[in-house]
Amino acid sequence: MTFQEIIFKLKSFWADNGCISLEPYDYPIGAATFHPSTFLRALGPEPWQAVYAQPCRRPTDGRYGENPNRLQHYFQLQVILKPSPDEIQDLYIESLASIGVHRNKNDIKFIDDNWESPSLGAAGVGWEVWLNGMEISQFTYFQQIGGLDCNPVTGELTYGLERIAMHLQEVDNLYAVKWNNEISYGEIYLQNEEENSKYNFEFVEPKILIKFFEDMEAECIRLLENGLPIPAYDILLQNSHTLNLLDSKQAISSTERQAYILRLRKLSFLIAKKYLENREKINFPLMKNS
Amino acid sequence: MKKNLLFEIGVEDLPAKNLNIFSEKIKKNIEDSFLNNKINFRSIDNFFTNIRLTFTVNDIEENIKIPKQEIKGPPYDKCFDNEGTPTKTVLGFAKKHKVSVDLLSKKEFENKYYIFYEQPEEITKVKDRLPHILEEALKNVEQQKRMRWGGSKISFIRPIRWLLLFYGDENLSCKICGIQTRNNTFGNKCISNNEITINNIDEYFINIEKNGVELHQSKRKELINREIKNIIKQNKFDDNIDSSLIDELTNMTEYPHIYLGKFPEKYLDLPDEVLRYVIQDTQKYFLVYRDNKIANFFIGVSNVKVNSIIIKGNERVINPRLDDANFFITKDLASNIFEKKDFLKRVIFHKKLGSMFDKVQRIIEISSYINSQTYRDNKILFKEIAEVCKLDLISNMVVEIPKLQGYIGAYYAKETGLTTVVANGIKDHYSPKNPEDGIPGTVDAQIVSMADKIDTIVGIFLINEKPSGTRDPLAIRRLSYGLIRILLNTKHSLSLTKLVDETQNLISNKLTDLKKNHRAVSDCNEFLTEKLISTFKEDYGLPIDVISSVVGHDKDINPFDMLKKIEAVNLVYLDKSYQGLFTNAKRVSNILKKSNQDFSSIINENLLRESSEKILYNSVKDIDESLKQLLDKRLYEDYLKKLNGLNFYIESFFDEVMINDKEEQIKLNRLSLLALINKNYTKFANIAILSH
Repeated sequence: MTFQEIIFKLKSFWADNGCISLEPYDYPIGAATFHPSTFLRALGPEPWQAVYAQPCRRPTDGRYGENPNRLQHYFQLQVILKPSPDEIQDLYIESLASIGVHRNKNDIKFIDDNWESPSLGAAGVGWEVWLNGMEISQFTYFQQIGGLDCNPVTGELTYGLERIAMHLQEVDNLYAVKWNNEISYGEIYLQNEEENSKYNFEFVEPKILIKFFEDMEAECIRLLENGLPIPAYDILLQNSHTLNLLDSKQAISSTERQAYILRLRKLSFLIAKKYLENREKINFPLMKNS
Repeated sequence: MKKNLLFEIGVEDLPAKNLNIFSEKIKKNIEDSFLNNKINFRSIDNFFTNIRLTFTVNDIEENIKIPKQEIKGPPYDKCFDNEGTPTKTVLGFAKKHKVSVDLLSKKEFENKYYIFYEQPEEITKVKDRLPHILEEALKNVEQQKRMRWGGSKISFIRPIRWLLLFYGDENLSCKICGIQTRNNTFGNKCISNNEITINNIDEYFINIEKNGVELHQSKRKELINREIKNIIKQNKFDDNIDSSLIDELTNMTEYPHIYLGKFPEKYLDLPDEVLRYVIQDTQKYFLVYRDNKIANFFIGVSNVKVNSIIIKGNERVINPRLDDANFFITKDLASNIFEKKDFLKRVIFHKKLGSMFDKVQRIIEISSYINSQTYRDNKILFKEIAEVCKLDLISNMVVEIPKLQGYIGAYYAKETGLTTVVANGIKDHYSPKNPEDGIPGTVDAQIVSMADKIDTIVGIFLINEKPSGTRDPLAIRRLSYGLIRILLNTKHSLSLTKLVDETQNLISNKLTDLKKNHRAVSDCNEFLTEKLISTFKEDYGLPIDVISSVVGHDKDINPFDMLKKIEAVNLVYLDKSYQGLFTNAKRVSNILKKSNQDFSSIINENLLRESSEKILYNSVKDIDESLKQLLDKRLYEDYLKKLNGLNFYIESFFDEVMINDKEEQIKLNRLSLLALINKNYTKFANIAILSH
C-alpha cells in the first residue's frame, strides 16, 4: 500500500464513521494538535468530529536526511472525536485493519503516556500505540486545553504516517517509502530535509527570530484586546515554530526556553478564554448536532 | 447460605507499571467496605490483565444481621408536656430511628426514667448493598492520575468500558458509577472482539481462558520466565536476565508470547548504558548477555502468537534508535565538551539557586572544605572531577536522554583521554542513587559526591522548599541518605553541622539575591538528623533508644562518630554484667534533677566527711586521666567499661552516705560530687535513659 493510499483509506474510514474530512492548516506547526480544528474545537461543549492529514515540523529532529527514521518535516493523520465515543479504541483498531494492519497478526500495544503541551496549556491522558515495537500513534483523552478543563472530553488519535508506511511496505528506510507506485518519499522530500536541516541547525539567525517573536507577541495581545482570538491563535502558532527554530540553533539556554514557553502558555490561556466567549456569544451553534 | 461474588471491570489499557499495587488497593477497598458494612465473608481474590480488573469475594453470608438492641433516649420528663403531647425532643429521637412515638417505651435507668427504643433484630440482604459498596470501592481508590472520558461524570485511571457482576448464580443488574452492569464480557481482544455471555461465576473463568486470556498474573509471569529460560538455553546465552521489566510486561498482556530478536553487531560498540536505555528502557525488551557482555540479541513479549512480521518489525525499530544514539555520540565527540565549561551557564540547576556553572563553582569550594576537614592527604583529583562532573549535561546525548547523565560524561572523558579516576568520578559522583547502589569508588569522587549533595540539600532549605509529603523536587531525601552512607561506609569523621554552616555561608555569599531564611540551617540539621536516625535503625539494626541516647545528646551531627558511640553503648548495653552502670547513671541523674540546680562539680575535699565519699571521690579522680585518653582515642566502649568500675564505690556511697546533710555546704558538696560523676556519665551519650 502506497503512502498516499494510506492517507486515502484512513480518511475515508473516518469519514464513513461520521468525521468531516478537513485539509491541513497553512502555518508551520509541530504537531496536528496545533491545527485550530483540534485546539480550538476541543474547547467548550460543541461536538466535533474531524479527520485531516497534517504536515508537521520539528526542527530539532532534522538529521540532514541521513537517519532512516527521523525527519524535521513529516506527516500526521489526525482524528478528533468530541465527545470521545465509548467504542473509540475498537474504532481505532478497525481503522488499522482498513489499511491492512490486523490485530491478530501484529503485536499492538497501548503503552501509557500522559501527554502534555506546556505552550498550549494542554494536558491529556492516553497511550503511545506500538505496532511490533514501533510507535505508530498517539491516543489521547484531552483533560485540559488552554488551561481550561475539557467537558466533554475530546479523544484524539494521531497516526504517524511514515512509520505505518514503513511497516506496511516492509522497508527500513523511510526515504524508500513509496509515495505512489512511481515515486518515493525520498524523491519528494530528501532535498527538503537536507536544506532545512542546514537551515535549522546552522543558518537560523537568532537576532531576527527573537525580534520577530517579540513583535508577534505584541501583535497577538493587540488582536486579543480587539476580540479576535482566531488570528491571535495563528500568531501563537508562528511564535511556537519560531521558538523551535531558536531551539534547534541552540540559540537559547534551557532557562530562556522555559521563559519563552511560559509566554506562549500565557497567550494560549487568553486565546482559549476569548474563543470560548465568542462561541458562547453566538450560542454554540454546533450544539444543534448533539 | 453463602454466596460468591464476581466483579470484572473492563477498561482500556491500564498503565502497566504498578498495576499490582492498583489492583491491591481496590481489593483492600472492597474488603474494608465489606467489613464496615458488617458483612461476613471468607476471602477476596484479585486478578488483572492489561484490560481487566477482576475481583471475587468468596463465601459471603447473604444477610447482614443487626441484633435486637435497646437504645436509650432523652429523660422521660423532657419528652411530653403537661397535656401529654410529645415534645420536639422525643419527636427528634423518634425521627432519628424512623419510628413513631407510640412505639417508644418508658424505662428506669439508674433511678431515673428515660424513653427507650427497642430496635428489633434487623436483617438486610447483602445483595441490596452491593452496588453501593462496589461503587465506593472504585470511587475512593487512590490513584496518581485520574482521567475523564466522553461525557463521563466519574473519573478513573482509564476509561471503564464494561462491568460484569455476578452474585451467586445471578447476574446482578445495576448501575455502578453510572455504568450499567452486564452479563457478558470479552475474551482476548487481540484474537476476537466478540462478546461472551456468562451464565455463572465458574463459567467466567472457563470461558475467558478458552478465549485466550490467562487471568492469573502469576501464571503469565511464569510463562514468560519459562520461555526466556528456553531461549537462553537454546542460544547459550548467560543465565542472568535483568528481570526488572518482568512485572511490567506481565501486566501488559492477556497472554504472553516470547520471541528472540537480533540487531547488527556494530552497535555493540555503543556504551552499555546507551544499549540498556534503548533496548530495555524505551523498547521494553530483555537484554541478553554472552560472557558477561551484552549480546546483539533481545527478547520481547508479544500479545499475539509470534510470526516473522512481528520479529522483523521489532528488529526494524531498534536499528534507527541505536543509529540515532550513534549520531549524537559522534556529534558530541567531534567537539570536546570538556572545553566548554562556560556552556554550563546556560543550564539551569534551580531557578533560585543559579546555573549549573554556579553549582560547579560551589562544588569545588565545598570539596576543598571537605578535603581539608577529613582527608588531609593531599587529594588533588577531586578538583578536576568537580570541574568536569556536570559537563555532560551540555552534550546532545544527555539533552536527549537525561537519564544517561554521568555515564555519558564518563564515556566521553575516557574517549577524550582524561584519567580513569576523573572519568569514573563523573559517573560516580551521582552515587549512591538508591539503597542498592554502591558509594563512589575513589576518595576523590566521594568528596565531590558529598559536596554536590550537600549543596543541593542546603540550597533547598535556603529557598524554603523542604520536602513535604510526596513533594521532594530535587530528591534531597535520597541525597541525604547517600551522603550519610558515604560517610558511614568510608568511616570518615566529618561534622555535618559544620558542613551545613559552611555550605550555607557559601551559597548565601554567592547568591546575594536569595531571601534570608533564618530557619534554614536548623531545619536542615533536623532533617539530616532524622535521616541519620533512620539509617542507624534500618541499615544497622540498632535499637532506637540506644540511638536516641547518643543522637539526642550530641549537638554536633557527625554520622561516623555517632555510629561509633551508638555501637559502643549498644555493646555495653546488651551485656548484662554492665547493668549497674546504667542503673547508677539513672540514679545519679535523678537525684541531680530533683535538686533542680546546677553544680560546679568543683569539690571541696575538706568537706568530704565519710570514708565512702572520700573513696568515691578518689576513685573518680584516679580514672579521670584514662577516661580523657579513651575519649580522645574514641574508644567509647572501653570508656564505658572503665566508668563501670565506679559502680561499687557509687553504691557504697548511696548505702552509707545521707546526701541531705543538716549542713547545707556538706549537702552541696555531695551533690557536686555526683555532678562530677554525672559529667563523666554524659560525656557522649545520655545513658541514664537506658536504665530499666
